[in-house]
Amino acid sequence: MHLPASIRRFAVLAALLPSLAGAAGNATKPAAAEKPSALEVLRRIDERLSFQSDYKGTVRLRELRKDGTEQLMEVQVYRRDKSRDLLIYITKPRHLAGGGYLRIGRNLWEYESGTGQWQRTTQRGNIVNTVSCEEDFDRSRLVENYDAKDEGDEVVNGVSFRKLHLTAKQGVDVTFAQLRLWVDPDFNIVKRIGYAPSGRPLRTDLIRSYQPIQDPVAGKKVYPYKEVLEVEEVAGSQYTVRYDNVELAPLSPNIFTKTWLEGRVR
Amino acid sequence: MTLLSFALQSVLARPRSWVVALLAAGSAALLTVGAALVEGVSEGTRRSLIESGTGHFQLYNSSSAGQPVVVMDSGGALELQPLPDFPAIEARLKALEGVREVVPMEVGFTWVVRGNYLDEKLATVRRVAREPASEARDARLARLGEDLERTLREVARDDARRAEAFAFLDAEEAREDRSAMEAVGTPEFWERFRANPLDTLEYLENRVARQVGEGQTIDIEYLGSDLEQFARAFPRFELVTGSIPPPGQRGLLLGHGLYEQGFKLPVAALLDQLHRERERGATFATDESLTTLAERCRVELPDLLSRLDVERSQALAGTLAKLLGHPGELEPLLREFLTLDDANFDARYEQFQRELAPHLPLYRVRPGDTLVLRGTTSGLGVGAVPVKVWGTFRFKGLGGDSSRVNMLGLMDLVTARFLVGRRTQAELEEVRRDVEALGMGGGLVPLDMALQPAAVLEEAAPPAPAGAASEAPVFEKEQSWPERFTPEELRGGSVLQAAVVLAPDAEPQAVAARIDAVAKEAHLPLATVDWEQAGGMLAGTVGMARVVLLAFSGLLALFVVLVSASTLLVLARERVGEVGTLRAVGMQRREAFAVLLLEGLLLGTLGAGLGAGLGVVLLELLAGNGISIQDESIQFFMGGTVLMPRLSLTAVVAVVLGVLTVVVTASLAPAWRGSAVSPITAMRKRED
Repeated sequence: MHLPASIRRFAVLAALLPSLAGAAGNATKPAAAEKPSALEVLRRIDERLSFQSDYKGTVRLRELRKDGTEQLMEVQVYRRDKSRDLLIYITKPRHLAGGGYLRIGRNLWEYESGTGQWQRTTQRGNIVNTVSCEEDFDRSRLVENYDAKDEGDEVVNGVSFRKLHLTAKQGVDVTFAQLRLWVDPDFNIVKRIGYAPSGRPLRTDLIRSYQPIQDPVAGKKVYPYKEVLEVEEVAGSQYTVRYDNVELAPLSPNIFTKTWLEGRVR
Repeated sequence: MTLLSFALQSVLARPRSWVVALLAAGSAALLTVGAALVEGVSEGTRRSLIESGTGHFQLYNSSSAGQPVVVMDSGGALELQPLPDFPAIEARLKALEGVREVVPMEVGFTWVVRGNYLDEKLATVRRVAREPASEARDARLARLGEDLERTLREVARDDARRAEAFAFLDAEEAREDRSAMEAVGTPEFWERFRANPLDTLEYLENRVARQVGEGQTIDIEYLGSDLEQFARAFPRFELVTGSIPPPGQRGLLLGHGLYEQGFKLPVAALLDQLHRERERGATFATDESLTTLAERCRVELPDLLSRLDVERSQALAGTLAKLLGHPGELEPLLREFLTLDDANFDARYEQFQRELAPHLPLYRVRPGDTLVLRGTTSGLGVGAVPVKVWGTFRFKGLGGDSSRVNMLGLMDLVTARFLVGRRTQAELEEVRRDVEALGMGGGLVPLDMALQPAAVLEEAAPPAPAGAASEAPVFEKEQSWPERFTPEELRGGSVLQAAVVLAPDAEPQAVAARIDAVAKEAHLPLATVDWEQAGGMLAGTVGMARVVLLAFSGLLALFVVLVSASTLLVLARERVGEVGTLRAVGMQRREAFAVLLLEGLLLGTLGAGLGAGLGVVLLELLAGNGISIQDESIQFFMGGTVLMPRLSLTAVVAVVLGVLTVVVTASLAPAWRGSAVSPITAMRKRED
């Protein structure tokens, strides 16, 4: 479902003003007052982003390369976090439509709809050849996966952003060995840089907006991403990623099967 | 003239000075032969490259950041801009004198992923299970089910090896795997398979198949081109099996070396390798690597057995029983057959090819099968591209199946563009429209913009859907990757580089100048690189050979200088009295210096001339009809199976002058020292 652009802009503004006011209010508080620890900040972020219901949404990715060429991909994402099942079903561009990516238990499969071939893969980054990694479509697991170090506050236009440096825990398999986060006073990540183990930046994300939604199973409001700008450091390509039509509701277990995805192509 | 006469008499009177001439002769002979061989290698590599894909030139857009290569040195993508309006450029260039073909092409890397043998077996069953229900399908499915059950029994039996291979799993994962394996051993499971094959397949694919190990990744370096034109333009091209894709049809030809090494049944490929090693003289008794290869053949047995259906298994067991002289189960028979040593290998290899191979699925891909190629560049719209394999090819005379050029893949340009995600203009316009409609347009965003709090959009949550699955769109299969293309799509789409092939009598430099003139006249951004640049690291071998020859020449020169100078110094010291007498009767010092230097010049000229002549004679006698090259690994650089040394007059003159210069340089110090003696000192020394 799409709102007209003018209404969307109004909604952004309406949401932004109280948020800014709240943030400014926080910024003026004495720094010493109840400043949560780095770990506590991660816990709050995980809590805001995670839900217990099944998830369905449309993700649209627009790639803009340095030379001005652009591409658009549209995928439908189905998630069941309690069993870590994930299905990504490509609906655009036309030549990839019907293909997808399926994670069941310890298996990752890629499906090529033209030939009906399934390929077992170990690739957890560049999912369906996007700049996205598995974690982008997964429950936020910052506390489980990373150790955090506080790097103080960065105050911009009167708003204080908490800066954290995260290092992957021993034995944990993640796309980025290190992360640097900038977190606004409402525990929303606003900027994130992912690094290689050597410390070389790989990807910079600006999280432009979140869309609160009621999680019927947990009975609380959660704050998944709405729009993120992802910048690949090597090529300099920018990806605008928009999460639309998010629904938190039970999904049929049949969705997370090869047979379901195969049934999308006649 | 008098001085020359003095010098000549002196040389003739002192046989010890002939050492210098001998040294010069030896050096000149060696360098003459060396130069001829290096030039032969250079010419051989040039011909190999020109006749197998680079053409005489590679044409590209001069505004590109990079230059085209045909043999890639690394996986890095080439930074080439498309040639503007390739069909028009092609027409202009073909009208030039000396140009025979302009072949559009591009190069790249791709890879295919093959699942393990169980993945492949399950994929076959899945394909049949998804066919519309019919008696024939049910019968086929029943047969495949029995075969699958038998294979899984074998897998379950191999429990110890599996446990060792998956020792990294945690206890819970290992327990899951064990219970899954136990479940498929029950009759109930196979009852369920017969009742609902797709559900049970899902279980096998996700819970069991990964337990037999990883699949295989095969890297393919490819050339995209107009395949019909490619085969015509490059005389080394030879089709080995299958056919060239018909015009307008997407397709892939595999280099025969790649086919043999990447797609052959592992046991058969290992036996071939053992055969090659033994042909080179290695034996099981002296070379442990042969024993290791034979052991690997036996390790691959489960893979081989899993690929056999009941009929093939029975036929193979029967043949083996006949060959080994006793009956038995297939697995122990094969194990016995593959227990190899020097005494039995030749016979077993021959029996394998003649008796066993007809019962084996010898290749994992056959002409007519489809491979899914993976795009290696990241970017939206780049995907896995299915393409039909039409056959295998070889560049003849360039090293057989072990040659780098016979490990290439050749595909049509349209598939190559799909692989790197370069879309047509119509597709780009469609993207633009979609982006606009979604309100996702806009330029690149500067990353150093100030931080700002994230917006929280308080939109109402949509109502929960009634049946999520039914909302997912359904696509037609044909929409994915079109199998056919028009000539306009092939040549009118973006072309990054093109091989320019010249007529046999054309002069490359003159044609290059004509191409430059056309580019200037029509204001076209055209540039060319020659075969040496386009040949990448293969052409680099020529440069390396030249550097080695140069380094050898340098060392030789140093040796000649040292030995000649010391010999001449000793002779000069012995001639102090003679020189003093000449000085006493009126010879000036510079005249004495000139006589001694002339001696060096005479020795050098004589030696270098004779040496160069000797080199020419040796080349004519020993390599007049070329040098036969048996080692396939170097045939590419020799231009085929025969290396033809090439000796130009320029090279001979350069060798003679070079050696002469070295000898004269070596004579300078002795001549100076010898001429420096005063007449009185010399006379006194003579009296002593």
